[in-house]
Amino acid sequence: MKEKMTRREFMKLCFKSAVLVGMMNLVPFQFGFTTAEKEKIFIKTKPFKRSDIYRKHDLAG
Amino acid sequence: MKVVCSLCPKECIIEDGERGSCRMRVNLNGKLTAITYGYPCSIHVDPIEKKPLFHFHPGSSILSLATAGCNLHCKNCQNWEISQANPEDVPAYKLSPREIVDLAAQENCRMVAYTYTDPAAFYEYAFDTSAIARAQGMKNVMVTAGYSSREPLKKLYGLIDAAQTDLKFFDDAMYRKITTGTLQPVLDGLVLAKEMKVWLEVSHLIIPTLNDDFSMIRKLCLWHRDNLGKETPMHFLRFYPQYLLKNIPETPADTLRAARDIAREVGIQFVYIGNLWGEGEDTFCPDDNALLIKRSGYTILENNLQNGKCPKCRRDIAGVWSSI
Repeated sequence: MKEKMTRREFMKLCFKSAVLVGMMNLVPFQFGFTTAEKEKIFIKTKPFKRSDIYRKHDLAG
Repeated sequence: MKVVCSLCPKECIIEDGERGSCRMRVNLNGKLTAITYGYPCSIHVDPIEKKPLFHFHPGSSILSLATAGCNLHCKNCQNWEISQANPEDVPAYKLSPREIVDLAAQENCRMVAYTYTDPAAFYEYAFDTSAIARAQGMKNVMVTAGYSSREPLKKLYGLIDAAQTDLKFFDDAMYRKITTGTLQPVLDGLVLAKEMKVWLEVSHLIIPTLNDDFSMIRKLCLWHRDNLGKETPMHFLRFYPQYLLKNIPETPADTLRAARDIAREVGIQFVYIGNLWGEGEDTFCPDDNALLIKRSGYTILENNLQNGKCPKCRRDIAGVWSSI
């Protein structure tokens, strides 16, 4: 195992890291993993109870 | 395919599969879809005074509803848990516009309010419900920040009987900074409501250090008098630390009283203070100062109006006073 990196090896490592970081940044946008279309919009429903509409609430308006 | 949402002045350009600023309007395969249509997350029977509307069928109950999401992102939003949430994260009821109107009738409410978040965002649902409610002889009320584009607002106002609009700041920079909206469309919307004969009441939440400058309040009052008329009621509301503005203290009572005095001095005839219990809630005759309606919170203690007139001087008092 080498104890010291040559300048060339160090530059190579920097280049590889930069490419990797760049790819990590690009991937999510490229595949759009947060879009509504992909995550399938699903609104959770709750059963309607008449008592709910008379419950005390602190919503403004 | 990208779509442009023209419902509010933000005019979001929405990529396929993405959503607009309001979080509830999604571009699904090139079609703009209001995903909260038929999914109200909050429904309550409230007194009309809570909106606050003081000159519109006082003492009546009103079925009030909202869906999740909002086109503004006010840092002081009291209803942020539903207004600033993705609709998928807030459990909702599944009720069609027809079911809403039937529910109102069943609960003896002759009015429906689109409130809590902004009907400017859950527009289609509010519109369709309003149309059915009107056909049944019910009244429609809109509680809004008024940040809408002119054409859709004009169409909706055609079905709305009363609007309570929150004029948040009288300063465009502050509007942008605190609400993500802008001032001019709100002012235009207020004038439009007046032109379309929608009964209008305006509220103005006074937040210490942000909009409690008295010269600004005077400018706001002058604009209100000149553009909406001195008979349009104005409500100065007390701020309580909320959401992202918890660092700001509640509005001192004296600031609210001073704002009310400025509005009266300018000539606005009906000025109220809200969220300050036991003060500033009563209606007086602008001519002889006779007590017309005495309120405590949302309760009417005394109503001395006689067919919408002052019992002493017989002057007409602006408002919609008939029982419903």
